[in-house]
Amino acid sequence: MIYSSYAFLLLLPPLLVWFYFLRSTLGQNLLILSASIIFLAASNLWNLLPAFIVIVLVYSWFRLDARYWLNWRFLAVVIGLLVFQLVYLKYRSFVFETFDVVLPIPAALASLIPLGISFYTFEAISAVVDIKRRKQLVPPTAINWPLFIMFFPHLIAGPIVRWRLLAPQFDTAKNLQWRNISIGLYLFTIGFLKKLAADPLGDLIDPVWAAPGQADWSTFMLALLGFYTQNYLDFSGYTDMGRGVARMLGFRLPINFRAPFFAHSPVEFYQRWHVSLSNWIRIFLYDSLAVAVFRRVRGRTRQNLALFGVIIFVMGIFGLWHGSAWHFVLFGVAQGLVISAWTGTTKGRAPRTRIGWLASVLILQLTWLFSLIFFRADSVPSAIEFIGGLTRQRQSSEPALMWCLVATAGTLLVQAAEYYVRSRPVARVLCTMRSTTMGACLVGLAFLGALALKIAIDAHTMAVQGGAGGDLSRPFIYFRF
Amino acid sequence: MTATQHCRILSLGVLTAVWLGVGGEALSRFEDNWRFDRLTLTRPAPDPARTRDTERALLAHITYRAGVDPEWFFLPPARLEMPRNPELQSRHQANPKELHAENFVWNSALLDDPTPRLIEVARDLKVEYLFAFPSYDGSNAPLYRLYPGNDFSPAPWVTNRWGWLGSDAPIRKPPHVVRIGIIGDSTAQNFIASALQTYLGAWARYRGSDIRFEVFSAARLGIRDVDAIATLRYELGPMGLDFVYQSFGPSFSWQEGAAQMRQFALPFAAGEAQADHHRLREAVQRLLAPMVDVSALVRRTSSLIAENGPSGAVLPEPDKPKITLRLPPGTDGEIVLGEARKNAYFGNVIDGLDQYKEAADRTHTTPLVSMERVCAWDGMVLRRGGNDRLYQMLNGSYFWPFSYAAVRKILAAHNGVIAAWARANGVDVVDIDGRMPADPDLCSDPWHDTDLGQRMRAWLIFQALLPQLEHGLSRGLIPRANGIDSDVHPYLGRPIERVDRRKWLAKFDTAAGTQAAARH
Repeated sequence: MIYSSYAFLLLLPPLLVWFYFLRSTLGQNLLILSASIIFLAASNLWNLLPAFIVIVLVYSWFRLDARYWLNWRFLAVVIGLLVFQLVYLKYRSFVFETFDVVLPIPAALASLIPLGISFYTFEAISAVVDIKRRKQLVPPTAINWPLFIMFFPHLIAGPIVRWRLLAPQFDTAKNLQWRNISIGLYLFTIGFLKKLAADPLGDLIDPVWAAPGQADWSTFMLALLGFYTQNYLDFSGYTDMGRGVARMLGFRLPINFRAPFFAHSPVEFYQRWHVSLSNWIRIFLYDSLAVAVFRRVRGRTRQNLALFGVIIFVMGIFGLWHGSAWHFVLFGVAQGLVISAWTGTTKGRAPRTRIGWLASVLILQLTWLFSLIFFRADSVPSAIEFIGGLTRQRQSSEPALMWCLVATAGTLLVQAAEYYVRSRPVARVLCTMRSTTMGACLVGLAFLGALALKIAIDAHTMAVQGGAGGDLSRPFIYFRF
Repeated sequence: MTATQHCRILSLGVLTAVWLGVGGEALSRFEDNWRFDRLTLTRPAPDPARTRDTERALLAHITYRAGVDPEWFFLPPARLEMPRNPELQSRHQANPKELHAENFVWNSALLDDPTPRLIEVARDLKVEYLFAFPSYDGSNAPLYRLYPGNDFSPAPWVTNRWGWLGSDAPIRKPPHVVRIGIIGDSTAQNFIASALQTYLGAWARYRGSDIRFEVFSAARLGIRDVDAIATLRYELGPMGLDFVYQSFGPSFSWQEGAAQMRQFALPFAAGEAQADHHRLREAVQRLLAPMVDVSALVRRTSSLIAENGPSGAVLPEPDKPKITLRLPPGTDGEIVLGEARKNAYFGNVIDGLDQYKEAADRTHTTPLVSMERVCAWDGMVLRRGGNDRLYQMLNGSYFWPFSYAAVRKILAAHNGVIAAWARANGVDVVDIDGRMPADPDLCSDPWHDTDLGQRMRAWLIFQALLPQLEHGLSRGLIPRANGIDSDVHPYLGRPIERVDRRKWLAKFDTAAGTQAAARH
């Protein structure tokens, strides 16, 4: 089930009504837990199994650790088991392709990559480490721990939430506050509109990516720009909707995107793009490895070189997180090289002039744009074929692909406004407006308008395609991660 | 908890149920593309231009005969308006779920010695009396025929004066008229006759010929080989047919045939007949069946429980017991008729064909046989919302435990035997299964075509007939006269009797009671 589907939109209002009707913490938590289980199982019942294993494994460790103060080796075993499950269920094909090792698996699970497994495995790892470090105050219970793992607004495509941020929110009953509903609906509507814009882009560019040996450079560039925009709209749209739903229920999830196309350095970019994953990678992987490097390697130059190696390695893992194939690893490695090269040449200094800033933004976005070839292609040979196509002479492009340019320009404009507004007092005014009755009415109207637009688009598509349409929303790109 | 709280919870529960019910119905109707302005689930009319493009693309695959203009396919069907019998309509309104059995005219020999199934059917019918015709030859074949003027709406068929679908024609055969008869089961009780007549008419006009065609389909639902042959011999025979075409769903699709075929699936124990989850699916579908024609939500729920997938989702072939298909000697690979005849199942198929040929010869008609079709191909992709019925039947009890690939292999053997028999007997074959596109959207279930599929089947029969027509017309062999100078059909002209249903049933209930008492 996805947030922009009609089924979800039908189920959300009764869920909200019952949630606020219940009033007790336990009742509300149980209701959300049930809704989360249904949400996860809606596409395949087997999705529940790995989530259940994570819950039981980590909760058992919590109980034992609270009682016997287990040492760090047990923690390493738990993390190892979590990673093993992730690799076993998600990276079987990668293991087979790379090491020619076939991992045996029951038939029911053979074709299944459990939804959101990367997200909740990372969340579970961060939780056990935080708890072991005694960085939290709320102890896990039989209710709040499963709820943390399966909380449906962040279940499938993030943001990756830390235990200490979300767990305290399960401890208090939520009262109905129209401010929350208004802000939540606002976020949801923004995400919904992004998703509405992303879907047609996907329909336009998919044929080009499906046959990389056929088109010329202009078609490829348009398809690449199309994916550049679709990827942002799709992923950030989904996160916005998830945050919106959580806010309507009275929960706050961290922001995951902050106008990333206007970052002036790769480091800043990852503070703006999929912030929760970047933070997780930095805290739980990069920092530990960097400290180890500084401890073991002597000499500044050697340390710097080793650090670049760490960056490339970590970014390779970052790429692999996105999917079990070598082209994702190459995507990550390409990003690692960009970060290393950028840090090496600028020494971490921000540009001082506006032109310098503009040039930085432009160069960075071009590197991001071209590394997306490895992200979007189906395989490494396909990516190479696509790159080869960029040198092919212009023939005749599909005129509809020009919409990719329009969508990209529109997205950049909106992000520019967001980038400008976010750092100024006008942002506070806008936030306050969302909470007023008038603002809430406007948000409601905007949502109804967006819904009417979706219905019109789907009705038109059904009329053109003929026959039953089913749910015409495209699945989110990040679902597979 | 106070009474007020109880009341609130109850109200909220009712409101939620109403919201989900009404919203779910609206959502299901929208997503599954059902009309909102009709209570009964009805699809909106498709865009004619788009439909035409799709049909043209499919037609390109099946038009193989030179001199055939694909535009004929799109000609309006021959007008076949017959007077409707209002009495039959009122009987049907009282029995809407009985597949028109309330208006069947039963063979008197069958009524004298009924099968348990017939008694069961008669018990369920809400009619005062049953119709009956005197047996043609003392046997119970055909089991029944259709009443003249029987309106099959919403399907646009009304049976002609003889109880067939197609042209209404007197028995006396006018000059320059070529008559073609169709016999078989429900796979031919449809548009085929009118579509075929339209294409043949267009072809005759194109040739500048003064020949006129009359096509009748005397096929009827759920009959046996012997019934179809009796239909040809006694009902169609006197009409002076020039050609006859026979169409059946393969007999291994039927319970008895399927049971025979299961002996080739090794190892396969009787207890393994069907996995429990399939039984559950069928039970749920039976429970929801009364509502599936009026509620999109119920229809969707039924499918979701049965197939576990959203509309448009691919319906994967379920796990089935591993079997080894061991076809009888002479049917796997190269067909040896003599060997195939030794097997009970294939022996029945060949005997049926022999009898068909003999009946056609006796009525001086040129026979054509049809390759039989089952919509199952290895790797076939079925989708929820469009192919549910096909999916349920292919994976239900009829075909269990055969995989799609196994069904295709059995069908290849079955059709191979038909082809070998046709070669041996000099009979033309209409290769329906081989020439029709392997497209599940042309099948309403494993054996039956959709409307478009029926028209395509007629298009193939039309092309298969052309060489024989050319040959016969050029040599003056057709049309042949039937030599009947009367308006009275020797068998169908006899009056239809009315049998009091209650009295008839009482006779058998008493007999059953007496037997039970004797046993005690």
